[in-house]
Amino acid sequence: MIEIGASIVCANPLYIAEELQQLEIAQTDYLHMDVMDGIFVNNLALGPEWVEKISKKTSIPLDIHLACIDPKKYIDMFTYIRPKSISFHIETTTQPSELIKYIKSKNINASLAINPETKIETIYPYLEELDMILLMTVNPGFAGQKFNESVLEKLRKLQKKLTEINNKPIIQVDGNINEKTLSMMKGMYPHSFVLGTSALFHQKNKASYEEKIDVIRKQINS
Amino acid sequence: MAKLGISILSMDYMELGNEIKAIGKAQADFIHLDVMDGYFVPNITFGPDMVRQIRKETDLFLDVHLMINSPEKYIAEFVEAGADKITFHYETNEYRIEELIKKINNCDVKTGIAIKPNTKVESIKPYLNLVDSVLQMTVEPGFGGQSFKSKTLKNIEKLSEWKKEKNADYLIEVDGGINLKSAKLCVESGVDSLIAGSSFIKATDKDEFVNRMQSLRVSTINETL
Repeated sequence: MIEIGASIVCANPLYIAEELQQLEIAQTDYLHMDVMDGIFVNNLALGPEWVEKISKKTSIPLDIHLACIDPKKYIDMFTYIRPKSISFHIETTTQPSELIKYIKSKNINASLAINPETKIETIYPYLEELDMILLMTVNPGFAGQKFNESVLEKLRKLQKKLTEINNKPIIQVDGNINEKTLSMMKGMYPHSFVLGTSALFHQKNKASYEEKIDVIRKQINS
Repeated sequence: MAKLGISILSMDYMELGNEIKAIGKAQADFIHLDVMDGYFVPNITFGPDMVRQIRKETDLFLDVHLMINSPEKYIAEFVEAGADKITFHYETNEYRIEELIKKINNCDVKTGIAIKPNTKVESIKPYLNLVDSVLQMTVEPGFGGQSFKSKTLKNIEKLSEWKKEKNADYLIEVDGGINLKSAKLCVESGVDSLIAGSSFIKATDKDEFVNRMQSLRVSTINETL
């Protein structure tokens, strides 16, 4: 089963309760939460108090993506909210195994995120320890960026590598995921897709979230 | 008359759009927006995207308080998003304060300098004639709902004295644990502009709360004492 998540940083924060209601109707599998520290990425977003309020309002599981230079500190800021998963960046640590163990010890799925420019081989030593790999298809920080096509080759390599492994993590893609970029991934779809501005929250397309997510599911399953 | 700003830090984020409207309806003077990065303070809040959304919802003056390690990096983005004033912390960048002030002034918005409760107020004295306001934090910044630290009143008295001495026109502001009781003490010590968070949320009659805070002035306090 594929999973479709919605990136909350792209929703309207002033009317988030309504946004959550629409996302529930659309049967979104999880809410993707970009936590940005203004240092690892040039933007600031989503503090723990905000994420906690969302967790109380909805039953949709939370997937937290720490776009932060000091992952341990931020893991500690969010574990009390009991998300389904936490991703931290390979670019921010020399000790991924310790952090993976630490996240798992809290009964939270551990995920390693990797930027478009970072070589996919850097995460190979940790594949069997991980529950998920977040393959960034744009540089994290801002909505509305162009899909980085060089990631297609990384996706291909990673999937090949995973065939050699018993305990396989799932692959998640995030960044400008929509009908057009999905068609570029045809034949090698990952397991989990984060939808943001271009496929879901764009105000120009007046279709409901339910209709928009349906279109994406159909395309992936066809 | 004191000015009153409302901080959204402790608001019901699920209803933020309506909360913003309520601030306007109660006729507060401005909205105070706390930006935190998790490094300068042990909490993280939001960035320019949130300010942009709030700007669409209200015409009120937006006072952006940067509790972040690199304020210089984000000034232009917050101004572009709709900020009317940028307040930065003396403690983040003590060696390049004048540059930072110039950078904010050049964006055609008001400039504020903030200090934490334990910072010596004398340290910002050289910059007072360059800024529009001084924000004395009356709690340790990071979280809403804390109690007012009364030792900060001494700083406020000094800021007020210096203002008279220098014939300067900076506003003296306070943020943290401000309710009717602490607000009176602050105004009495020379505060021009009050920032309230939890006390506004708790007030059952918002119009009355705003009105009472705005009506505070040194003479009325003396009369009631």
